[in-house]
Amino acid sequence: MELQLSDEQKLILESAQRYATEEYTFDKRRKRVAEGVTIDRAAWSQLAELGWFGIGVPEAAGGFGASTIENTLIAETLGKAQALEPYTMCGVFPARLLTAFRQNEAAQAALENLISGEALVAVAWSEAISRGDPLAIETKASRTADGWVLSGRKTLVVGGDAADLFLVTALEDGKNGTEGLRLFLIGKSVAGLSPEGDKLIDWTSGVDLVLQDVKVDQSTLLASGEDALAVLSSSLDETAVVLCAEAVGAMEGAIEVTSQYIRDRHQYGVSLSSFQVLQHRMADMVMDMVLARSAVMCALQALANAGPAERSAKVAGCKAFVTRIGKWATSQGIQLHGGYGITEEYSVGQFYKRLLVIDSFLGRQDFQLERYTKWMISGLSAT
Amino acid sequence: MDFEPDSADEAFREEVRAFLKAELPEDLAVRGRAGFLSGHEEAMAWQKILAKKGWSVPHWPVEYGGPKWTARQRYIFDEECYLAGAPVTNIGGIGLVGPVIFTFGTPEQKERFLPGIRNGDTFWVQGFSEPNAGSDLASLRTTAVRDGDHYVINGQKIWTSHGKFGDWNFLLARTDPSAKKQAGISFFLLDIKTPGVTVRPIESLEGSHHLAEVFYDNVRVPVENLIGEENKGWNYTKFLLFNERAFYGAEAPALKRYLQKIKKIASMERAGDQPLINRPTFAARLAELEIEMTAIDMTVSRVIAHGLDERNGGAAVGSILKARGTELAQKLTDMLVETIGDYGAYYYPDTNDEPSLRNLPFTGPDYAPGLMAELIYRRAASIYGGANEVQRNIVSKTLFGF
Ligand SMILES: Cc1cc2nc3c(=O)[nH]c(=O)nc-3n(C[C@H](O)[C@H](O)[C@H](O)COP(=O)(O)OP(=O)(O)OC[C@H]3O[C@@H](n4cnc5c(N)ncnc54)[C@H](O)[C@@H]3O)c2cc1C
Repeated sequence: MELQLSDEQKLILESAQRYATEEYTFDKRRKRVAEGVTIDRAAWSQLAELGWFGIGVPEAAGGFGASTIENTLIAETLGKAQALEPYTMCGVFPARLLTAFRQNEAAQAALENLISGEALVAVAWSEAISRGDPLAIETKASRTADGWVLSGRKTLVVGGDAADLFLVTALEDGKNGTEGLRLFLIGKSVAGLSPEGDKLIDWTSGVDLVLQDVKVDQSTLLASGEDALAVLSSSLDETAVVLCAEAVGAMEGAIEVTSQYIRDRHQYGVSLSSFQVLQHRMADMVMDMVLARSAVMCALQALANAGPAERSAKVAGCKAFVTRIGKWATSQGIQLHGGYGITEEYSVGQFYKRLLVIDSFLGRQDFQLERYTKWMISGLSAT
Repeated sequence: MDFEPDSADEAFREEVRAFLKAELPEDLAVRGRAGFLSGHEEAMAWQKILAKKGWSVPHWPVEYGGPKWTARQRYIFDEECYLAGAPVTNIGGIGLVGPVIFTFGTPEQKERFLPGIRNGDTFWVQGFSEPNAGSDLASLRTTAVRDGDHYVINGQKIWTSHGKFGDWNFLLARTDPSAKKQAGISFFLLDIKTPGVTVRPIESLEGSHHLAEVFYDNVRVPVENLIGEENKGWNYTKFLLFNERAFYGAEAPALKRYLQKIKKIASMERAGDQPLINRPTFAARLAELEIEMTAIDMTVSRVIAHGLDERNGGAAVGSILKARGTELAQKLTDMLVETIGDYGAYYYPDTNDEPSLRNLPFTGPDYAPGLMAELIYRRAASIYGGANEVQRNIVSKTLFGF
């Protein structure tokens, strides 16, 4: 076991940090938010040029090798930099799915275009009743002579307002559970497909995707049943870990700006940082951050070594824990800023909002804890 | 101690419910029920309806239009209003400056200002905090200099709630620059339309503009708008801040409404083929919050029933309730957002300050807009009215003398 970053990983982290410091200034972000731009395609292309979308994709599939560890380093950096670009949800997540199904020509082409930044790919897997479970869906796929008709409503589709391609899940009409699961790759210009909604509370992209009698041909079907579920589950797990790394970055960012703020802010003729209760608060925030980063490592370990059930459970545990303490730590960043903390003019609140959004992705506390609990109890009865 | 419900109180509750059912118009309740802050029109329209009934200033003495309720009745009234989604009336007027005026004001001031507050004609906003005088309010720097029969005010306030809606502004300014801190401050009433006043809205995290900065550039206030004596403003301020803490600190009725809402929505929302509320990892966490809420509610009831005593926290109880009440509200609103799953991340514009932006189409269930906004407002509740750290200082000082 080696719990330190390798030299190569250090290089990736440092170059990501350098890029983020130069490119992601708070002023620029404010301007973009005011303009209402969720995904700036020029900025997206730059991430592609850095090679970040090919990281974690095997070389055989046109990627640059490396693993989810490297994705977490980038995501952590972007979380701290308050990037508006959905690196995890539109970079990592669809790349995992497409890689698994690259024997399909369209999938291989989409993957290449994703890696080069030419295509933005959104994954439309969740629905109002899913709450983290990819099988809890109601979108229907009905067979026709030469393909399928899809109807339903997908929720929290990140990139859905700007995507060129969509990976969409549905249940085949008349079938239930795993057996009925179907995964499609469809283009944005198919008739009957429409994004609905505005954006997310942290000003990043996320909308409903409405499918109204969307007719697609047979070639758009990437996977079915067990095959589809296994890949969806492992991709969701990897994505969740990368998201947690983003949360760690946001915690670190909140800690950094808050420690500076309370040093500079004076009340009662003294620096706020002279109050012991605030020193201890910040100590707790940083303790949480250190534990959160370790929790991400536990989950990375499970991705590398564990079988599917244990892997999913441990990832769920990581997400429940990191989002809970992450929301707390970033909320305390606001608290210590006083009134300034709840304004858009100061950056600290954006970290908290990012945590709220990360909490909502891929299933919330209720789902993650349930998944972990079930696995924990099943382990007891086995011994 | 006995726990028999008081039949008179229960009858009063029924009376309030019947009144709300008959008199609270649906369109005034939608924003409150959703979780958005009341707008100016809702607050004032509701205030007028209450005034007609004689219920608009529950804790004012009868001679100024109060309904002569017991503390218990006031609490029941607040609770029922909250549960019904009634707009929050103008706290700055009814809760804060009104009592200062009837306690310390001149007969002319009482006659001039109290009816407008009571009847919902004038919206009052609070101008205490400054960019560098927040928790340490007494270090405020806005000045008022006597010039004939006027004071001339210069300086800046910040975090003025509903500043954009303000008709009148009560503010603190320094009248004796040489006196030590608290000593040289005076309390003024100012028509916000006076030349030299500029209100600049502040954008908050959930996208609304309910706070404002207010700038004062040679603003002339007639001397008759000074409260009490010059340089004694701090005394009136302490009185006001005590009321603020005592009446609005715990906001127990709001806690009840959150719980009610979470249960209702979690019974409608599904996790797969089950109602969300059936999921043990959700329900158990909700139960913990409900149990805490009942303890807070009982603490409030104890204070209402027999005032402060050693067993309920004594003089520290206001701070105890403020800190624990606001922190529970934060946990509850977080859970409220969890309840709606994916839609909890969506941005639903708040239209508190911009009526033309109301009733726009949105994506998601009817009950989704407003939940996130409320979660974010609640982050502020542990900051305003004395930050919770300051409340804890007060608790230690009061109870232990530390
Ligand atoms: C939504 C909202 C509405 C408001 N409405 C009004 C209004 O209508 N009118 C008005 O005049 N003001 C209003 N305020 C201002 C409010 O009273 C101040 O924000 C508050 O007094 C804190 O001051 P500050 O923001 O300058 O924070 P600071 O005083 O700078 O404090 C920042 C943080 O430091 C910590 N801290 C401060 N002092 C201590 C201490 N002694 N010990 C330990 N920790 C400490 C706390 O965590 C605090 O949150 C409002 C504020 C908000 C957020």
